[in-house]
Amino acid sequence: MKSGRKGIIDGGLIFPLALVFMWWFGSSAGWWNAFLLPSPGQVAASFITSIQEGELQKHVWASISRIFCGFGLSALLALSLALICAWFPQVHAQLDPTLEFIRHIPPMSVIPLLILWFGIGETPKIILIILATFFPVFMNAMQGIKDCDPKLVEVAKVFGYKKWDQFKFVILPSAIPSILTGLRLGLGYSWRSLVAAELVAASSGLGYMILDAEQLSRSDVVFMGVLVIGSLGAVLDYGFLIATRRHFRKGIDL
Amino acid sequence: MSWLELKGLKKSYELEDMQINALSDINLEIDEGEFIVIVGKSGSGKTTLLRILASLEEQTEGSIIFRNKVCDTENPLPAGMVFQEARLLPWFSVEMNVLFPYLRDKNDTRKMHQKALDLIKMLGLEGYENAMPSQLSGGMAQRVALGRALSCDPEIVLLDEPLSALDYFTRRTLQRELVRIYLEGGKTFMMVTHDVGEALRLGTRVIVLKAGRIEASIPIGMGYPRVRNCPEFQGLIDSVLTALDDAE
Repeated sequence: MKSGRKGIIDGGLIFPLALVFMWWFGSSAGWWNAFLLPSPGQVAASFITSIQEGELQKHVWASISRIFCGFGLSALLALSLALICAWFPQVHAQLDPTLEFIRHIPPMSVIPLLILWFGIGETPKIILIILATFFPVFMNAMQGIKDCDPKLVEVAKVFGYKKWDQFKFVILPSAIPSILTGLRLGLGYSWRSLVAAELVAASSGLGYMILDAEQLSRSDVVFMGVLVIGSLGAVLDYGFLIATRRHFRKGIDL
Repeated sequence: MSWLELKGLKKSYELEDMQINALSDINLEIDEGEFIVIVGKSGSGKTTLLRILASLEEQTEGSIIFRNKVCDTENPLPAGMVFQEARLLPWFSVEMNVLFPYLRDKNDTRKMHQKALDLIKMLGLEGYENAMPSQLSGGMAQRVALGRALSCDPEIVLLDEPLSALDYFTRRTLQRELVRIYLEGGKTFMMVTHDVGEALRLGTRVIVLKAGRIEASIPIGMGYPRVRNCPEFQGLIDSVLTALDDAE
């Protein structure tokens, strides 16, 4: 009992539990219109119905597939380019102005062009996620590499490490916390861009489910969708953090 | 021909339109097994000299001749170095840090495992093999850095003020440890310090550096351990201080 109470306090659950209580209490007392803010019971009921009908699983799977595909490709591209730019500073110098230009373009603004070029299939949705997640991963990786303590590189030089080994044994490990921060940020951004990606004539996915519910005036389903996105995002982020902590040595401060 | 010879070493830097000579006309002959201590004030070129020997910088003029062969970037002086700060790699354990010179080659790393454990034991760090650098005190971290420098079996161990960041007691302990390791290992040591007492406690020869030039080379004929309050030691302190004062 005591450990349960401790978990609630240490796990930061007091605030969300208080919010749910307020939400439930206000709904029961009729403080607001149930259409504008449905009760927790209504949202839970639509959650259970959606699972029973297999709808939620279908939408979650569609969204997660897009996230994994878009974010995976984005991370691969961003990390590869960061490595190339770190290894060949002249390449970075040439690419930097173009990357800075692209970085400032909101991904949503290119949706019409993406539809025009790639149609309404999966490609524009994946590209939109890539555009939204590429820069946090790339810039954090670059910063991590740049921030490597030159004194540690000197140690490697003293012991005869050539350039590639200096990179492999000193620069890259020292950049790992920054790279992982970029990946976590990118993963978060991929969820943010998901709804926009699924605006592009989708017939499945959590973003689509929310937009469909809006058109049917089902605010309970909208709420349920938002809560599912938030929960899935948090669970994925936590899973990512645990996996990286297990994988990397304890000396790296994550 | 001596074991190691520095011949007409010069290092100059361009600073805006000025040319700064960090080292000028350094000529030094070192025998195998010596413990050379270089003393000098800040900016006298002590660290620059050590960095050139460690191949971290290139001399502007002159040459380093080791066992009758000229050292260059392709054929550097086989040296291990300990810096002022321990500079341990924070993501590696104590053992891996000691093994760092061998990490490039997995076969080497496996072969050297026992040697690393022996070094860790010799440095009084038994039981800390798997500790991370963040869990070590300053003195322990510097011992690991010394182990790392010794693990590659260098011909010469370069020490750039390795004890200057430590407290008095840790410093004294490590001075004794350095002497023990020097006497047991029979390696050649070259250390930089600005502490005259430390130089005389450790070295077999003290080189006084002034404004990039060698001002004096003072052999220390005393055995170890050295007692500070004996006339011979006091006489040596006076000699070094005189050389340093003359430098002003």
